[in-house]
Parts: sequence; structure tokens; C-alpha cells
Amino acid sequence: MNLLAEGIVQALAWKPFLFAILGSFMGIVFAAIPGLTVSMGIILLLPFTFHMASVTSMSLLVGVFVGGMTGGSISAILINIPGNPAAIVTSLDGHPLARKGRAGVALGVAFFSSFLGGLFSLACLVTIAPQLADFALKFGAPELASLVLLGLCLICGFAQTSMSKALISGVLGLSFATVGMDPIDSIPRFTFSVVQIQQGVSFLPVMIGLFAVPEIISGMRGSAVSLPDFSTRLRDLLPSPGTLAGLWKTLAQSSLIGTTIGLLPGTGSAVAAVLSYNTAQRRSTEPESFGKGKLEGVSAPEAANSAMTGGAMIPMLTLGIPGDPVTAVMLGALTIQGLAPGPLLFESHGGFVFSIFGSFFIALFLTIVIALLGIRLFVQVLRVPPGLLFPSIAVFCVIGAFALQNSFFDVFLMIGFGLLGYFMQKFDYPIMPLLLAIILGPVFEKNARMSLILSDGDPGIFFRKPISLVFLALALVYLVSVFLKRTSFWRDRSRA
Amino acid sequence: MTEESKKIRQHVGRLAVPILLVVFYVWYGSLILELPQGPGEEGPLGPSFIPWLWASLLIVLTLVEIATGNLGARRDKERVVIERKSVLDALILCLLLAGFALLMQYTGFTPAVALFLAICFWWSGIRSWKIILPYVVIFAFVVNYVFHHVLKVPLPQDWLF
Repeated sequence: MNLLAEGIVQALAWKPFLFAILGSFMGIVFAAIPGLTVSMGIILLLPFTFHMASVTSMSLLVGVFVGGMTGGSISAILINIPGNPAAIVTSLDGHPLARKGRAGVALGVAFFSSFLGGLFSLACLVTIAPQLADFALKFGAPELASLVLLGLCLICGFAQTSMSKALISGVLGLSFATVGMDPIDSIPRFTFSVVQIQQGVSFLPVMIGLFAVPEIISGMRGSAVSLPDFSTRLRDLLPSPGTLAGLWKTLAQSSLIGTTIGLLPGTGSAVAAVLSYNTAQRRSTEPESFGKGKLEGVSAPEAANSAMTGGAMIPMLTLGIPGDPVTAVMLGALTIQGLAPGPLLFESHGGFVFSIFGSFFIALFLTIVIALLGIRLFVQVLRVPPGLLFPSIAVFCVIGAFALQNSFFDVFLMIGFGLLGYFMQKFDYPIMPLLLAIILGPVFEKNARMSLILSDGDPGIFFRKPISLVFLALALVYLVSVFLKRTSFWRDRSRA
Repeated sequence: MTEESKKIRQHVGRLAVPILLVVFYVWYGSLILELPQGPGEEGPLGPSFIPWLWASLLIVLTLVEIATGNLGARRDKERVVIERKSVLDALILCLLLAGFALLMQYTGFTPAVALFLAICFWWSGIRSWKIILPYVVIFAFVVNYVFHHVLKVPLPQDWLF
């Protein structure tokens, strides 16, 4: 508790606080505008953090993360176009409420649910993360290799498309991860004498290319949206205490679902939102009224969506395994700051980790204040023509790719991966396994080969260590269960 | 177009990605063969060990994808429709980005941004110079000032600056 208090004090210093305000604001804007995503927002703000102190830079990025989880509901409720995938579920009841003239109430409930879900997940983060980091210190090379393998299997399994496509995407990423110096023998591989990739494929240009460029291509020729009229006065947005009290069960169960889902790599906020919405509907005394403008239908996905943030930060900070695109970008940001996420981060930079928790706490409060007071401005932002917005974002993408190493090669790398990401999306190949495989590939290779060298090439080392065996068994059980579930699905479909 | 030729096109469309993956596999495999052994002479555990693992996994998965996507359960479910216009849009934007990066090396950041934005706005349908001119000039100068002078993020400064 003392450490958290110290973290909050660090995050309250004027610079981190100022950037937390900016981050929360930008997060809401990025999530509110259809076509832009929170991960894109963080990627675009990364170049701003290159020369910042680590606490300040994390305040900015955590602010975007937390703000982004709230902002998606604005466009979902007002124009029925979700700002992010999780807000698709919010629009099911949020937009009908707006059509009934209750947009203000829907937005207010969404903001407060998001806030409370975030607070719950922060409490879990502060409680669980240090314990898990302590436990993870016991991991040796075989355990780490097996854990990374489990993480990659989970990510592929949760892909919405075919399992083979997700696995192909992951293995392609693992192949890209072999570019650069071999981690054991320091022999250059697949570098074609290009100096810029001697240390491996640079993470930031790849990330910008995969996530931002396809969105820019798709969004460039879009048209501006028209918005319904509604009151943006504070008193019309604030839900009454009675309304919030009536939602407590939904809020509690959705927060728990969101945090748990966040813990699993590859799941993301959309899964959390769908699961919590379904649970709320199943447990409701009036399930038939869901989808027609029910406040529980707004509260459940928003609380879960926000609660996912704290959950997703747990494996990223303690094990160095990002759970979703946003935490993958945050991991990249920490690496740029010279910090390696994982169990040792808690030992060597415990104060800094708690300052991240402190920034999270501050960002939650800032987000709800900014969302409530700035709703009029966010509504105006939705009116900006995509033709103006997306080219400007493209400029920030180029700056982001260029500025890390002052390298035009990285800009061309970004463009190449942008095209790859665009066509992967078109052919229904998920991007997330590719990106995470690029991040986790070198970790896997180093630990797997070290284990095999230690055991004179005997792969039994992965099965003799109990923790490693558990991870491998979980990966196998998971893959088999996903395979069986999908084959039975197709069998049923072909019979029908 | 006859029904038969439509079917052939869809079939080829579904095979396009697996074929590309096989080509990638052959290329990647040929590069792995050229890798030297590690200094430790660890035999199969040298620098080519993990690349071989991924290459083998990739070819197995590609065969699975061909089997399930073209011969198996998904053959009637999957219709990948890619419009020529969207491919063209993607290529044009990537060319514009590449042109922007190349131009930036010679003219510096500000003029390159201004030109890139003006072309993009025109291309995306914003044709009013009253909007384009002030926007690109202010945007280019403000972004350059903020990044280069306030945040100390180095941007190419050549022409004009």
C-alpha cells in the first residue's frame, strides 16, 4: 500500500500529471473516432516519449490506454459506429437509448462503468502482479520457453478466423524474428549485409506498419458522420446514485470477467465485452429487453472493457508477455526506455512499476472528468472529415518510424509491413499473432536453445521441469480443445 | 463470365496465399542452408536450428490451410473478395508514403510534409485550396517546431531550415 502511495505521489508530480491529462484526452479522442484505435494512438505518441523521463512517458501512455477504453463508447452510443471493437457491444443498447433521447444517460453510465471497472482491475493489478513476479523469478530457461509457447498458442487460439491461418500468421512472425544476430552464437542471419537489421527487425516500424497503415488505407476515403442532437450539460450526463446502485451486480461481475479475460494473452477487450454482456443478459430478469436500450447492456461491456486494462498489464509487466496490441506497444515503450518487462523489473525498478500503477489510478480519475466535461468537444472531433485526419496521422506514422533510429530504412520497413498487414486483413489472416511472435520469438529462441544446450540436445528437459511441463500440457490441452470445438462446429454446420 | 470460370477464379483466389507461402518457404529454406554453423560446433543446435523449426512448421500449416481451405470444410464458406480499387488505394498510399520519405531526405521535413499532405487531401477528395493551403502550412510548421525544437526529436532539416 505504501509503495502504491509512493507511486501515486510520483505520478502526481507536475510533468507526469500534465502528460497523464494529455494522454487521457488523446486516448478518448483516438477511441472515439471510428477507424482510429487505442493501439494506434499509443504508437503515434511513442515518438513524443523518446526523450522523456520514464515515469512521464508511462503516464502519457497509460493515460491513452485508460482513456481509450472509455472513449470508444462515445461514437458507439451517438452514431452506432463503435470507436473500438469492444464498443460494438456497447452500441447494442447504447444507440437505442440515444434514439430514445437518452444519449446523455447512456454516456454517463458508460463513463462511470468504465471508471469503476478500471478501479477494480487496478486493485487486482496491485495485488496480483508483485506476487506473480515473485513466483516468476523461479523460472529458468526451459520454463520461460514453455511459457512463451503457451502464450503464442493462446493468442492463435483466440483468433476469430481459422486456427491454421492464425498459426501461419504466428509462424511467419517467428520467422521474421529470426532476422538479425543469432542470440546464442552472435552470427548474423538473413541480414543481406543491411546494417539496420543486424540487431533484428526493428519493433516500432513493424508495429506502426501492421496496425496504423492498414487503418489509414481503409479510412482515407471515408466520409464525415452526422450526429444526433443531445444535451451535453453535466447534470444530464451524471447518472443518479440510484441508477448506479441498481447496476452494482452487473458492474461487479463484468469487472471480474474483464480482469480475468485481460490476464489471458490474445483475448482483448472485445472478448471481455461480449462475455460480460452475455452474462448480464443471462442473469437478468428481463433478458428480452437487452438490445432495445437497457442500461445494463451499456454498463456490462464498458466495465469489462475497462477492467481488461489492469488484467492485461499483469502478464506484460510480470512475465514480459503482452496480452493484446496495446500492451504489446507498451512493452515496446518500456524497452525504448531501457527497461525490460519481466519479473526482474519488480526487483530492479520496483518504484517505477508502482509509479505505473499510480499513473493508472490518476488516469482513471482524469478520464472520467475529461470525458464528462469535454463531451461537447469530442462530439465535434467526430465531425472531422477522414480525408483531413488520416493523412495527418500518416505523417505521425512516418515520424514515429524514422525518429527512433534516425533511419529512412525503418520508414520503408513500416511501409512494407503496412502493405503486408493490409493484405493479411483482406485475406482474413489475423495480425496479432504475427506481431506478438515477432516480440516473443527471440525470447523463445534464446531460452529454448539454452535449455537444449544445457541438456546436450535432450528435449526431455522441457518435460522434466514441473512448471515447464504444466505450461506445455496447458498449451496442448488448449490447442486440442480449440481444434475439437472447431471441427465439431463445422460438422454440425455441414449436417445442417 | 461463365459459372465455371467464376469457380476457377475463386479457387485460384483461395490458393493465392498458400502459393505465396510455399514460395516464401522455398526462399527462406534456401537462405537457412547458407547459414554457417555456430562457433561452438553444436551440431543441430546451431544458428539454423530455430529457423528450420519455423520453416517446417510453416510448410505443414500451409498444407493444412490448402486442405481445409480448398478441399475441406471451409471451401464453401470462404469468399475472399478483394476489389481492384482497394488494392490500388493501398498501393497509391504506400507509394505516396515512400515518396514522402524520399523527398524528406532532400528537402527536409517541412516542405515534404506540406507536399505530401496536399497530394493526399486532393486524392482523398478535399479539393478546396482555401482549406488545403492553410492547413498544410500550419500543420507542417507546428509539427516540425514541436518535434524538433520542443521535444528534441531529430527530424531531417535541410532545405529552408
